[in-house]
Amino acid sequence: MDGLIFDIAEGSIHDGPGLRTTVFLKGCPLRCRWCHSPEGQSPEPEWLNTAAGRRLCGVRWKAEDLGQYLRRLGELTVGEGGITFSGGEPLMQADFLLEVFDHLDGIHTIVETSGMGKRTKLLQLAGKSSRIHFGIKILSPIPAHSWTGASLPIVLRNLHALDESGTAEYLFRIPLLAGIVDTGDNLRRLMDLTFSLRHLRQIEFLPANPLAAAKYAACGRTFPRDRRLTTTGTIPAWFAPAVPWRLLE
Amino acid sequence: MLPERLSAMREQTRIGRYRRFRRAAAPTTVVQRRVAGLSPCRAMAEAFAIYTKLEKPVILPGERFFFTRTLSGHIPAPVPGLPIENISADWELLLHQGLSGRIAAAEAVLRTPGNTPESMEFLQSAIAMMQAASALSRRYADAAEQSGDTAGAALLRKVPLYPAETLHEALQSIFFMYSMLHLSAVTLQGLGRMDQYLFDYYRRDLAEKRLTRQEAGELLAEFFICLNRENDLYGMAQRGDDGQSVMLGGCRRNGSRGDNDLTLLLLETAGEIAMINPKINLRVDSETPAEILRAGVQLTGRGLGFPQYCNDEVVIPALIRFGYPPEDARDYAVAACWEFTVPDGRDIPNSMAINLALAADRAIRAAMREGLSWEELLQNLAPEIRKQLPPPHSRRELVPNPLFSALKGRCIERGRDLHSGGGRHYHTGAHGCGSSTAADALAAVKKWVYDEGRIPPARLLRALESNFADDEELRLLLRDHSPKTGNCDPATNDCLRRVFDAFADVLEEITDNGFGGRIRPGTGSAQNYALMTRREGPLRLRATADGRRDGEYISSSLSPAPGVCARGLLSILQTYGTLDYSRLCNGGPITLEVTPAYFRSPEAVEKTIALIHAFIRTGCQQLQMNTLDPAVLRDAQKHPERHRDLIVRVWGWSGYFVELDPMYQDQIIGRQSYGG
Repeated sequence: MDGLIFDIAEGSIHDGPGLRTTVFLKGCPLRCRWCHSPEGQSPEPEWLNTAAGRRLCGVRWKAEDLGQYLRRLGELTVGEGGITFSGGEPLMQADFLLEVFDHLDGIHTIVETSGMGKRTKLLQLAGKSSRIHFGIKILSPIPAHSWTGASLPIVLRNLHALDESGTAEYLFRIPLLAGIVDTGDNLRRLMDLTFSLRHLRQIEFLPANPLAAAKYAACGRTFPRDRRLTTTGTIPAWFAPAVPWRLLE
Repeated sequence: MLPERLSAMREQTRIGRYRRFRRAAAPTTVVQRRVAGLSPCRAMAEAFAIYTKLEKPVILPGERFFFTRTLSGHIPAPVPGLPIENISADWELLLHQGLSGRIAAAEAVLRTPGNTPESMEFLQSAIAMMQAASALSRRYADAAEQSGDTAGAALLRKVPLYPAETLHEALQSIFFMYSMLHLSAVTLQGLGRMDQYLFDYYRRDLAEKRLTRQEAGELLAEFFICLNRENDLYGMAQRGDDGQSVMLGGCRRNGSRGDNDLTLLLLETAGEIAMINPKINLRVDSETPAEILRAGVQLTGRGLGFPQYCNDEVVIPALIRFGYPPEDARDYAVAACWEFTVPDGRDIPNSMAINLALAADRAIRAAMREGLSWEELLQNLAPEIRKQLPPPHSRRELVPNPLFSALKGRCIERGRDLHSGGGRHYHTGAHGCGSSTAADALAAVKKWVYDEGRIPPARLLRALESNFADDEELRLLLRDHSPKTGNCDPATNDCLRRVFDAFADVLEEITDNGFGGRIRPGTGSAQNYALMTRREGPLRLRATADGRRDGEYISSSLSPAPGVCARGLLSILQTYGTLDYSRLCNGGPITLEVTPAYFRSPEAVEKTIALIHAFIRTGCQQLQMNTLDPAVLRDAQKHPERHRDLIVRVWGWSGYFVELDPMYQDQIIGRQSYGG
């Protein structure tokens, strides 16, 4: 089976412990307004017009070829390193990813998902991966939809299913956008949510990406003029969820 | 943090304040005339005597190391030929015996019956040169006395004449003799395994409470800063290519672990002063203690382009296989860049450079012309490499240096100068240049001409001959849609391997390099990635089948060809891990560029430690990592005054970017960065 990949970063820094390689799967059902990988949204190959010239973004990989390549990289990792599947939204290519997993022979794997997709696929992936980074963002339905295009009921239903299955270790990875994610209301909802989950390990807040706009021109799009989309928010002193949290640098 | 006094010293060094003491040009032509007619040994001794007498002591208040050059200019050897270069003295000989001990050893040999006239001449010259050096140290002592520095005077009366007993004495002894050797025409002089020969002094000073660890660090920092004072006089055309390399870590001669607390302190100190000298090398293996690796990686994160990592698990077996005794192989260090140096001999590790891209290109063109098969094409690699070898017996004369020889191995005991048989081995080294360009060209031809048959040989040949003038379509196919070295795919890995196999085969055929040694094949390129694209005549390199136009650079040491964006850091390591380094023992690093964002992340240190482990695991030989921000480099070309301290790795050494020739600046800006 084929999958569409828009980037592979060997020796990635931000996507999990140890020496890692991150595979970015192309295609995402969300349209987060702060998205810094707009070229990962469309599930089709597309042309990018970069300063260095026109370039086709999106490479088709056979699951077996990708698996073999990643397994060979996995041989280099000592300790806790491995492979992270990010996107886009990996759930959109879940069947491809499941086939890739069959070639990985127990390498440490992380799947980064927004939770927006089919529940059965999420649970199947969770069953095969070592860890899930659950990218939950906004916890009231209307703002969630207007900022990200996500359907909060689906995301929460999938989250609870993941939690109840208890198969994979999972944590929250939340982009801490000023005035969007760090609002008192949203953080309070987040705190409440953590107390209803049994298997959540921790919360990692990600800083806003000040260079998020960089790739929009190459995709023939414009990044919204809104300072909040590129400004990192703050965590108030009263924020006390059920699990440890930290803000990544 | 550097104390204020050392920061000031560092700043004074950076702006070249110490050069104001250079009052007179070294009278090199007068000296040449004076020594005309003398034997080379005597000529060296006589020239050295003149230069040391002309030197005027400079005592600088508060400074703890003594010697400042007052003769300006590079000191050439007074007789023609290749002087001592790319090697370091056996500093422990100097520290343990002092010049007095070495003089006594020479006198003892002189007294034994049966000395030839040559050996008597050598020993007498060595004694004369050591006496001249200690006379200058005495004059420095008198000057220190006069300026009221009694401690300095005592230090200068003790070393380098007598054995050192403290870390300060050891460092002054080395610094003084290091400067003396430069005054005797030694260039590209290394400092060897400092953490080994200094460790006992360091440990004793700490145990006897003469120094705290911090004070020892400050002493080493001052010593390091001093190594940057005169480096404009010591090196080659490019500032920074001055060979002041230090080797740290690794095992002892008996194979037990050699890294120690001084290894750590030296790594930390190099990061604190953040200057281009000394250039740090770190020997690693899978058992290297975590704190040593961490200190090495933190130094990497400073963006100075060093340490250069050497994988003992690959290097030592290769040196032993080549024929060095195991104890000496375990004691290896590096020459000016990456070339391995082994004790008790004088190898000339960069005596030739072979253009592998040219060899591949010629084999490809011949195959296209004559309709040869793929295997026949590959078999032509070795003859093409052979054609580039310098004619046999074209060896350069070696200039003796009795002073250096007195501090190297058993030259005194053997009664022979290092350059006339005082060492055990006289191997030479050959750089294998442009290897990735060669492999890419071969892999493209294999794919399009042989496997898929989509490009007729005549079309490829025409395109190559015309520098792709009328066939841009073919050039883009070759450049953008062909396998590239660095992605660890079997096609290019196989070509790369075949290129180096042919290279090693050809060199292994040569049983005498003209000095009674053999030739060590290596994977480094030095400046040839640029120079080899600028040559005229029979060695002219034209357009190549990887889509490279005539005049564009070829790959540097072990790195993907210019303009190639490989899959990533790990694939690059895996690619070069497939080489058979047991046959490639001259050295030559993988050159990796990482984005500056990479090291801004707090997790970068742990990640890079894991990367070094991957480097060891893949069985690679040497690795140098550079952090690069092309935007900053471009700004530095426009506004050099704002980027005076910007350090980059050039080929096997680190230099200040703004002091480089634009040709090398451009190559650095064009490198592909990975990670983050």
